[in-house]
Amino acid sequence: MRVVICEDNIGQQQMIFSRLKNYSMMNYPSVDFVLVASSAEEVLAFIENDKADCYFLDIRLGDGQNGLQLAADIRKKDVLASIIFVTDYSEGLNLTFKYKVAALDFIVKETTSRFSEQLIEAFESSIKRYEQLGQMETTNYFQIKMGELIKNIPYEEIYYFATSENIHKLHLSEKNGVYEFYGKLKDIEERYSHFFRCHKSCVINLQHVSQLHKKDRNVEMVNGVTCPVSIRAMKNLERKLGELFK
Amino acid sequence: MDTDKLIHSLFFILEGCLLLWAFFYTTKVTISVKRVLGYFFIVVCPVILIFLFFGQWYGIVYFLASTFIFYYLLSKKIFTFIHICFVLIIGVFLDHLTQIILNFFKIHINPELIGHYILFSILFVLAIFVYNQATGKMYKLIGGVKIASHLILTIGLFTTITFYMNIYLVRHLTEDKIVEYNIITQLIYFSFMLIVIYFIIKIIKKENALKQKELETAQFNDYMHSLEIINNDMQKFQHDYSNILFTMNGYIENDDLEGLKQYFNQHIISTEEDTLRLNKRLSNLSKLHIPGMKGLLSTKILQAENEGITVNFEIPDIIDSIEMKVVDIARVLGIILDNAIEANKNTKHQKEISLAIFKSIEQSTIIVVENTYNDNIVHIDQLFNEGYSTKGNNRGIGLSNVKDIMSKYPNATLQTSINNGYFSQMIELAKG
Repeated sequence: MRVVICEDNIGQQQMIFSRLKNYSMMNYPSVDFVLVASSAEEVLAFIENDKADCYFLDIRLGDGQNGLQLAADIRKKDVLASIIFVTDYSEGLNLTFKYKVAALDFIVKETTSRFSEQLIEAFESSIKRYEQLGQMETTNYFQIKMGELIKNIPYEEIYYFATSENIHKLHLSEKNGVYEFYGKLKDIEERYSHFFRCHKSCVINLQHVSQLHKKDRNVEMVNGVTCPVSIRAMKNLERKLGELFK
Repeated sequence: MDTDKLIHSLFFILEGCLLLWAFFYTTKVTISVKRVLGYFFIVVCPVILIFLFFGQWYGIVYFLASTFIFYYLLSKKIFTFIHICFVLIIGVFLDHLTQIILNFFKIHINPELIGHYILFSILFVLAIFVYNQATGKMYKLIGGVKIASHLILTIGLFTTITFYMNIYLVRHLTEDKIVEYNIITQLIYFSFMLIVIYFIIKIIKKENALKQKELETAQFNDYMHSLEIINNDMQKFQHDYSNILFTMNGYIENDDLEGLKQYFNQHIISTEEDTLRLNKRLSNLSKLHIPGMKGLLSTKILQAENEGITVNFEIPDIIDSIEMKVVDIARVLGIILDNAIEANKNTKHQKEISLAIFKSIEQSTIIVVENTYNDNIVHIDQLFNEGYSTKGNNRGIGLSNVKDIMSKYPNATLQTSINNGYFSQMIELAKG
């Protein structure tokens, strides 16, 4: 994992660097500190031709430079990198960190011991994430972009997809959320074996069907929502459900 | 033959009298012998003369023009024109209707014309009474809208002219010419209607803009009101501040370091936190350059804080435009925030609402609201159904409205989810 640190206060910069370096030498020798910078320009110049996996950024860089803007610039180039903010006091920008630049974490410079502890925690989570990214099979997830935050929804947890009144918008329903995104049902039905196109406006996940109402020509999902079933699809749907719930 | 002609002229006079009565009655011009005579000499006599010497067509033109002028001079009201037009339209229409009714029931009274005239007179008098009753409603509807009466007048005039042309001009035309004539009148009538509709739409648009302005003003007033509250808080703090200094001075003069420490921790730190929070809120709102939203947000934030809810509020970027009508986004945000406040009622747990508005990297505007909640949300999907509410709570009120508004905008998406005890909604408005 390649790490970049950007902090304009030299004392703090060295403190962060040495703390992380010592910790990684003991536990993760493969971690490489590729840049320790004290201004946004240095980092911008670096990402011009290079990339890192984890960035520790001060929010308030001297000369009116803004760590948030720097993070946005990094995100433009690299959607996967972990970004961890280091702030002087709680900025109250939690949602902004989370959704605007999909920051992994932020650390408030409080007392030295607490700060050092948080620094290591954040570092650990970035390493964990880095390892996960390496192994993750993107084929089993549906990805929804919420701002810059990418939400991975496992296929088996999805209830159904439906078109909305607006032609290009699709609607995804799962246990913990309802999401809208732009796409086509045609591109979705093939992705997972239990997805089934029951109507021109609906792709359902057969695993979450609770009841089939043949008379009303619809299918009830476990969350109580009903999806229409076309005449043509009815027979096929019956057969597939029979196989699945045998 | 002679009796026929006599009856014809008799009823012609009757018809004229009926019209005269209807004009006076509907325009509410007081009827008097002098005026009737005046009408007779100014309108009726010349019409008959023109009829005889120049032709029917000129007679009708003179009749219409002089009648309009005559009544207008007596009443000096635009509505007079409208009434005359409608009386004429009713007359022409009923004349045809009478014919149809007689043909339909195959009624034949000899001589034939008597039946026609009697039925026509009855229908006409009735219709004029009904019309007169209806005008009251028309006045009420139009109220002070000047352009509406102009529009009605133009429609009335135009219809009258077309009616008369249809009846009289057609008699002088050959069949080929009739087709031509029909096409022309139909086209003119159609384009005329288009023009009228254009004006109506324009008026409606204007009205809407006005309404929106009103709404924005109301929201701006709300904002001013909350600023006032904040300002009052600041003044109170300033007052406290000088008190604090004096008290501290007291401790220092007595060299009471312990007392000073205690006082500082207990009174100053906490007050300072409040001030910081207030300042923060002010500076945050200052980046939002949409007055309507400012008003709404500041009102809702104050409302939430009064309910004991901690509100975190982030606007890191300058927001000066939004890809949605302010009325709509204010409505959506209002519903979402009301729900967030409602969801924290009757709970002693930590109550929290976080709100952020910022520009994404692709320059779309993103609005996030996250809040703690008290009730059990079983199926998020169902929150959007009309009339859904969980036991005892009114969560989800209006969420179906939110859905409706959002679906009007192809560039807008709404994400709703629950995670780690937070109910979270994100609106993303992609740039044009």
